[in-house]
Amino acid sequence: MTSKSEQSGGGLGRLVILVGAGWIVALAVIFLYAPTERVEGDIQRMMYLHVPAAFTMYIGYGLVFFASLMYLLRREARWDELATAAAEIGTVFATIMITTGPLWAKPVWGTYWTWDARLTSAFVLWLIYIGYLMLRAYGGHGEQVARYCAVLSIIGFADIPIIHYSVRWWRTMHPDAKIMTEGSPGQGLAPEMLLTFGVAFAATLALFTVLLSLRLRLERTERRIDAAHARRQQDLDLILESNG
Amino acid sequence: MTTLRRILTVVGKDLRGELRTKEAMSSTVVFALLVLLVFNFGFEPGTRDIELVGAGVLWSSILFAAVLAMNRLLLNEREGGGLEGLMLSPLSRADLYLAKTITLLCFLAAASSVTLILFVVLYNVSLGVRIFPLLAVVLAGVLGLAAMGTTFATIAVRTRTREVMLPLLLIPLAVPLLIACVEVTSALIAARDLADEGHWLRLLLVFDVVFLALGYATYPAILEE
Repeated sequence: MTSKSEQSGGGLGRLVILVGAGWIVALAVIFLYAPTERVEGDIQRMMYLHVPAAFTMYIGYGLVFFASLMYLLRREARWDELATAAAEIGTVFATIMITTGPLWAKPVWGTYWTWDARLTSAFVLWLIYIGYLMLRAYGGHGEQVARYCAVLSIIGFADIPIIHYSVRWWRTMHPDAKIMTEGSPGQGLAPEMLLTFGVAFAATLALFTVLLSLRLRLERTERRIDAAHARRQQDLDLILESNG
Repeated sequence: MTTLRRILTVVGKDLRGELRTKEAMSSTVVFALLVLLVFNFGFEPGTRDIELVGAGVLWSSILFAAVLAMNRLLLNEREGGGLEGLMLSPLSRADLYLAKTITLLCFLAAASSVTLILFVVLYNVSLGVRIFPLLAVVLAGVLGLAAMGTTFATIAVRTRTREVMLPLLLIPLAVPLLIACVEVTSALIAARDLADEGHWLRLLLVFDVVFLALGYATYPAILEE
């Protein structure tokens, strides 16, 4: 008889394989099907990684905000587990965004980095969640750090639009968004490119989901082990007390 | 006693304590002076450079000195068990946030005004009467820093890394405030028309109001032990 956790582990295992296969297809579409951009050349294929990573980052950080709010309202550990996992995986995608960006920019703009509006606000956002992960790591015991992180993520999320506008007024080289243009979405791109983008975006979202589930499972296991350790310590203390 | 009286009682107690030791005030002002000294090596004195970088120099010294001050004030509180004592008082925890923010504001306003005067003298900035609007910008800026600083300094001194945590949390979040303050300050130093800076003044106001409200709403969740 298999336990429940083993069963879900098996399901997750199949999901990991599925996402891996999906990524092989996505990479084939990106490199073989998508047309080469006329001006920028092959480097433009970076878009299929860079832009979905940026969208996924927002999904991750949105989840952190939602879970933090729920945690402060309900005080249920599962919301804090979700916030922990989403913050880490969101930051993985933020880091992909912030490293693929300069690699794409160097051949196209002639520079790895420029303090333009989008770059600056993405950088600041990344730093906020690096701070969040540091607070997670050094914030103290479980319930306390959960409250601190929830407060930080709520204040941080409220700051995102303010950062966005302040930095935009301050200066604005990053091309305007090509995918979600006002009016008709995706009009800035060739249809083949849009299709490739869709595949890459789906693969990135699937990767996010699988990483988030794995991280969530890890977090729960860690907390179970910590709780078991604490119980064992209590039992030992009781035995020592009754013997002594 | 009304809530306001209670809040002011706590503020009075905190400020009296600081006036007796002058520990945080003196270290903060000296630190700001040192930042001004270090930046001075970056450019030639007596050039037009000051119009370009002066605002950045002023706000860097205000920001770093403010971080130092917040840590000092809240760490004293932590070590003396001050906040834990106040949590037993009839003051609600949200009102405790207001008391601590007002204390921090008074403190930062005093320290930053001294920093501003030192900056004007040491960098030979000819401001004239524009020093008064600049002082108002400094006050609006430190109000925003105090609103966020109270929350994050309270958190930071309760973590394992203590004072190292505060700048990591505060500085990225305070970026809009810093940009707005630097932009308005540059305009004042270069004697540009303030009418063109209206959006920055509005941003400064929005920042102060939003983070005072969020600090007020979330402080009880921090002080829950």
